[in-house]
Amino acid sequence: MTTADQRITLPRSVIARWEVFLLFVLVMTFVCGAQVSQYFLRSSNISIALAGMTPAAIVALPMTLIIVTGEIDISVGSMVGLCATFMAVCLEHGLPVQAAMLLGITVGTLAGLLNGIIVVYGGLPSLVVTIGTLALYRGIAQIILRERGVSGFPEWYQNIGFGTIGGTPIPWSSIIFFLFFIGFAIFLHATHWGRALYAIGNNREATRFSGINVKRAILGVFIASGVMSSLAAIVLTAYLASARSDTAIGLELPVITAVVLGGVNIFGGSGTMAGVLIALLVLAFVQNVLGLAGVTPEGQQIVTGAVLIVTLIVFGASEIINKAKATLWRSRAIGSTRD
Amino acid sequence: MQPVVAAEVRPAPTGAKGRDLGVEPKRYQSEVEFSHPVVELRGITKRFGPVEVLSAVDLSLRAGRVHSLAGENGAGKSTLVKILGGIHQPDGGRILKNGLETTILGAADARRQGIAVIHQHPAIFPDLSVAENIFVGRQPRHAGRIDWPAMTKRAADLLFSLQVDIDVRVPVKMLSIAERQAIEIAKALSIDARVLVMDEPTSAISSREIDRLFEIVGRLKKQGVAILFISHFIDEILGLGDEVTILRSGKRIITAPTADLTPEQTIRHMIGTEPGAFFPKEDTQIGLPVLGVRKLSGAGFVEDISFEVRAGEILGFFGLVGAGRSEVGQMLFGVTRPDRGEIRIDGHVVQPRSPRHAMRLGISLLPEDRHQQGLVLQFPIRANQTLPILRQLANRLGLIDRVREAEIAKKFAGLTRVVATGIEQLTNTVSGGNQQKVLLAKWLIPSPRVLILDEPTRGIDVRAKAEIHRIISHLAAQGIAIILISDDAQEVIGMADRIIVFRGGRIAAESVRSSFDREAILLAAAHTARSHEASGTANAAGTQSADRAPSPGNSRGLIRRLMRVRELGLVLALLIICAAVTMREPRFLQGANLKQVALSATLVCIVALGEALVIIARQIDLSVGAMVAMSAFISAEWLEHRPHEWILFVLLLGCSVGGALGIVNALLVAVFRIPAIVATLGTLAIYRGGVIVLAGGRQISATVLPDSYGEIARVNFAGVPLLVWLAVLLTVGFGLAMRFTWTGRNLYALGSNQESAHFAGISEQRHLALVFILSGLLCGFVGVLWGARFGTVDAVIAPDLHLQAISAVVVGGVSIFGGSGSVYGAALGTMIFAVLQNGVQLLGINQFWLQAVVGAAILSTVLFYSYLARRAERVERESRRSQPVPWRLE
Repeated sequence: MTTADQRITLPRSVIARWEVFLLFVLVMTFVCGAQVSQYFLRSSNISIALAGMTPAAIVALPMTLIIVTGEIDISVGSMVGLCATFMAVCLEHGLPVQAAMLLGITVGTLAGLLNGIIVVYGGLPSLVVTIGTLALYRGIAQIILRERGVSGFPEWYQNIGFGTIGGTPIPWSSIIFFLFFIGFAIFLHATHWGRALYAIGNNREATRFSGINVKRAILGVFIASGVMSSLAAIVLTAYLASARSDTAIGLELPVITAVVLGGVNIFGGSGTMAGVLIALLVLAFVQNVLGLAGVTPEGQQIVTGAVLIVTLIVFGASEIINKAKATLWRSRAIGSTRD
Repeated sequence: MQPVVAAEVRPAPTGAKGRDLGVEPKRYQSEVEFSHPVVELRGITKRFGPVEVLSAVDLSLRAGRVHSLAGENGAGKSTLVKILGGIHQPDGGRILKNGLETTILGAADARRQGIAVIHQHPAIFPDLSVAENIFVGRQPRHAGRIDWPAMTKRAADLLFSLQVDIDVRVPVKMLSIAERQAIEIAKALSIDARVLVMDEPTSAISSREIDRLFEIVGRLKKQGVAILFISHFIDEILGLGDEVTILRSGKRIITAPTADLTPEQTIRHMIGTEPGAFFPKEDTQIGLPVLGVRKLSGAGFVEDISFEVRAGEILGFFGLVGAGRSEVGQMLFGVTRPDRGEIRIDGHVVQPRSPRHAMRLGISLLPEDRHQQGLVLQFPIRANQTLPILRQLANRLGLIDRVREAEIAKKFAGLTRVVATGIEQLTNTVSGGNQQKVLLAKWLIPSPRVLILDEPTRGIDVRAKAEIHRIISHLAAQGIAIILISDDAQEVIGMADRIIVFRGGRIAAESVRSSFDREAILLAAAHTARSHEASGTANAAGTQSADRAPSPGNSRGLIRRLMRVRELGLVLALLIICAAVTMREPRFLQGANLKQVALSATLVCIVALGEALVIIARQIDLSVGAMVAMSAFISAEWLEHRPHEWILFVLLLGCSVGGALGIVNALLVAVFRIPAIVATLGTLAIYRGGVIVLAGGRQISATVLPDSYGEIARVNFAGVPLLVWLAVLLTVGFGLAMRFTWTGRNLYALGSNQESAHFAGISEQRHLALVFILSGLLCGFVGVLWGARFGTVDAVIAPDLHLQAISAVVVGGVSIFGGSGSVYGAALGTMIFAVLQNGVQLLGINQFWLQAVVGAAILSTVLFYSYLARRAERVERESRRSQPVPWRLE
């Protein structure tokens, strides 16, 4: 899966080094974890770590696509909350869980569609639009559900959240995530749709002139974000065994952190799914280790924020280095390829 | 086969690009005697890594003379320009100014030393007015504050002295490239430049505009300015310049008076070999009509275009910039929809709905701007070539067949003779001429039957040009119908079988190869033949003062009104909302209620002031709520343990906390160059997490805080709460600072165009740091007031403050793209929301609606303003179409 056009902006060597570095960090995290607590390597702990990360991981998949095209979606937390709210209302009215899930997915699709329509047809920067919909969707959720919370999900549903396969520590939700991961990875790296996203992220005008329907592509990634948010809502409510209007507040932070940590350029045009996967694992287990070491959820939030920033600093520095390299290469190339 | 000789070789009468209008050739050259050099470059050497881009180059620029600089792409011209402009430092050699050795360190230093550089794409600030653009960074001041009337008058005078007719109050984004160049020249005059460097100024402007430009140059020469003129066009190099220096591969080949050089000699020096036949037109069998167009109209000004292209035929589209040729090409390619007319392929009517559809119909378009519209520079050559046919390369599942892709890419790169290390080489590391070949290969792959080439040889060197012409001829010989759009008369005459001349969106003339008449073609393309003669006498007539009222066309006055309407419109909106609420609930107007409204607005307003500054600078700060919480908690804690502390000290403490947090934001954005959106997303998490950890779940209530603290929120002056006074004072204070200080105007410049700000010597780092620190300080200040106003302080206060602040700022008319808007608007925005919130309360609507309303407000206002801006731009653009040049005409 690792071919030339994944390394679109940064030279091959740098990206490969980054993913290797991330793997190294992951291994170190495991080592630290084992030191910190004897419970770390227990099956139950591993599955909790994985299950806890899954909602963010599911949303990180379309977020990768969105950031590759040079856009951003800050409203994902609110979309998850909105879907959870509608599902809760369904349950309150005694409808079967399957109907609730269906409604949730519909709501997610519509929310993503609205984001896409305003960005594409309103011609507005996705930053501002999704800040607006972040407020709008959360607000709607609050209007509908007020302070109520709904539980009473059936057993099999809750199993999605933290039930595991057989005797392994792998939760069902992780399997769901992994299947989607494969799909998204193939989509981004091997299909023509994926290559179009990279092109859009690098030069939107030229891509449009090349016969690619840029509007449809961007609309598509925002819809994907909405759909996956609804799936994340299902997994999250299953995990928490409850649905409230404030579900998933702040989800955008770990999602964007994971994508950026995975090596996706925040300005668009480059990055790999594999990197994002490793980054998700790193984040999941770092948080887990911190928790075992007694750090509060807020403390973990601080760490997540710090990770985001440090990653960007590091990439900022390497961008400068690479730009210098490219200038050097170009002057060499011009010297040698005079026509 | 008739070898037709290239424009560069045929001795050309003077006039840019051979576009003279059949009038007496004008010579722009000096009659000034020998004068000593103003700037001298001696033995200048520059290396980039192992490559020596300039080797011991000498150049002397004399007062009152035009020195032309000629050379192919990569010869070192632009590096030399950058050295003069202070952007690069030479590795060897000396720079002498008026005989004294000097160094030029940066763009601002170059300006200080009287060297002005006009780039091909003028570096301007789109949102700022013409006057501000001219004086950016050094606006005239009076008594410590910026003197706007003086600036307007001085700008108008400068433009008048150049005989340029532009209203100095118009924002520059409305102006054409030629007008922007005029402004750059005015800017050069305003700094009393002694040296003017013009880097390929004529590539993107029309023939008449070029003549005007050269007249300005003539005037500058009389004022003793030394001019360095860089161009690709031999006619201009020899016609405008008094002397010419020719560079090749970084070395100076020759410097000579232009009168002593023929065009052939010039080219020979540039390329080092004898120029061969440049237009090898092959004998072609011209077949049946492939493309037929009837009465095509669209793009606002293109009317009634009808023509036919046959297989194997090259149809030339000739005309001035803006005559409509590219627009026709884009209509054929489905980029824009025509309003009327018929397009036929092989006799069948078709309606290209999109570029993809056009490709399927067999039409390919090589766009005019290869960097913006043609190539994805970060892709390898292979990926660029296959971009249009990606879908065809994929199977039913969408997976790309990479083997086939590589085969096709290699084949076509070979066809167009792309010189590179391979198809995997990144496109941005390949030279201009080769990039154009990649582009050509890209559009040949879909096997077009109609190939539209829009300026295929613009901006590339002589040898690459010849190769591309050879390829085009070859393509025609294979039966492709070709439309060649070019504003180079020699190219079109050399290559085409038929020529259609465009003027003002219509077809002005048609011509067949056997009867090509260069003068007739040029005449047809120009607006009127008389304008050239009239130019000499035009300036005598009309003593209109340059700062008169807006020119004809009500649209311009309307635009300005539309712009100002933002703040007035906000006041109007505010009044309407107040009226609406009052009608449903008269209690709204009660004194006590109004006071509550004002109070609830103040804290958000002060935070919004900081946010407005940040957004004007084209950044964003999501961490404001967390900063307020941190400051609030720390100050409340302090007061809890030291109840006798002076309030002033606590305020200082809060501000310091906020300031420190703001400094972190500033570091991340300004120094580490992290995009503000993610940087402040991260610090939002860190600060909020931090205060939660610090608080450890505690809540500090008013009972443990001293009375004096809560007093701040309750004290009135003249019946108005102190807090409101504070907010008003701060708003007015920042408003005045933004309007009347250099720093304030620099923020607008920075937000409008970062790159131009850099060239204007505005320190991006310092100003970005400033706005984030200010935002932090204001949040720190508000944090202290928060406890006073609300009584209870814990770690989760102000959870959505960032949303409230941003929505207030956005509703208040500050553009999210930066560069425009005001703090007064932001303040009005907070008031609108405060009234809305109060109204919601009074009318008994559920509080939970508020968050949704905030979200809807952000979305609708941004949509509304963007719609307004687009309409304004369209109206302005249309009003200038009827008068395409800024210079005064008879």
